[in-house]
Amino acid sequence: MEYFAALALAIGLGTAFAAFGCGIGQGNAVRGALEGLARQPEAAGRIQTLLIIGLALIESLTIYALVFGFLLYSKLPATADVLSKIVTK
Amino acid sequence: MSELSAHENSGILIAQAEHSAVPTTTAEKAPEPAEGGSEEPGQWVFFGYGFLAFLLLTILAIIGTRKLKLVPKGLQNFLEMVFEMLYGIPEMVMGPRGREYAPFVSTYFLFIVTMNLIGLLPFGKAGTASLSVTLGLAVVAFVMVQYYGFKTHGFRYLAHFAGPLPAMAVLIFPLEIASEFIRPVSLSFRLFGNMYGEERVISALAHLSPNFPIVPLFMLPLQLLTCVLQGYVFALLVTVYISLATEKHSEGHAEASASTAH
Repeated sequence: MEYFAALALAIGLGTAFAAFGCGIGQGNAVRGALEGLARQPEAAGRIQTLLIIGLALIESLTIYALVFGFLLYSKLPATADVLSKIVTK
Repeated sequence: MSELSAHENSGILIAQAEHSAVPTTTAEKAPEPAEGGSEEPGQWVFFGYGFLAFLLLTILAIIGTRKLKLVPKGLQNFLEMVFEMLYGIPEMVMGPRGREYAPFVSTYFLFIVTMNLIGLLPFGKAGTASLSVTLGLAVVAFVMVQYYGFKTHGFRYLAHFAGPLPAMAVLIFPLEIASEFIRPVSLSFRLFGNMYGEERVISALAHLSPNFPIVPLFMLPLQLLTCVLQGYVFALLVTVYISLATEKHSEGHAEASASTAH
């Protein structure tokens, strides 16, 4: 039973931690883009393109963690079954 | 992989705790929505939707290139705009020599975006929401990058993996080979994670609000952005990998950002 408790905790916290780092990373990326834009507004098109690409790459790291979340989630038993087992105990 | 281990584990624990009927429903209920990871026939659905995207693109191409006019209007105009944008990607990454690889890269963008957008339609499923499909795309990209590398450099292409200093080649070589092999994994997982996650979010929202089927619609703008963006990122990354594999050593291009793009 501890196995499933640990699994549930891992599923819950895994993507959360990844999103935490992703938020910081993407915040830095946007800050860099905005600073560059403020210095040189005529480079807006190029900066926007690079910004979007950079954001997608940073986000992909969180997506990897999310995929592991899906993978682990499929190993978890259904809530109804666990509840029925606890009740009959 | 799949539910067998969870079933076994729960079976062992339950047999230890109490003698009760092992929930055979565990295996069926656990991956509740979109089970496409474990059952053989399930994956072919995604292939079918991918084939549908292929058919749509072919039909679009045939219709759009009939009766070509010098001053384009309508569908031809739209297709020319798309063409310009797509051919701009390799030229943006590696300059004029990128034009040779533009058709290959454009195919990725068009195919992936079409598959993703079909997933947003009612009764439509994104072909890319299956790891098999995205892994196939990524493996093809990987093979083609190696092909372009060998075509440009011959057997000296393998010297690319030796790193900057020949003295450190022994250390750098396995690292570079590993990083080369991780690229299809990262490409496929990025696309798969985005599209499959979208599907799961929609199904979770729909489950949470059964009386208001409008609620998942609020995700639509973000999903549209993600669909197009992930296709663009995939095509762009393939271009970057090709540019890394085929760059001539004469001028040291500052593709530093590209080499860290995993």
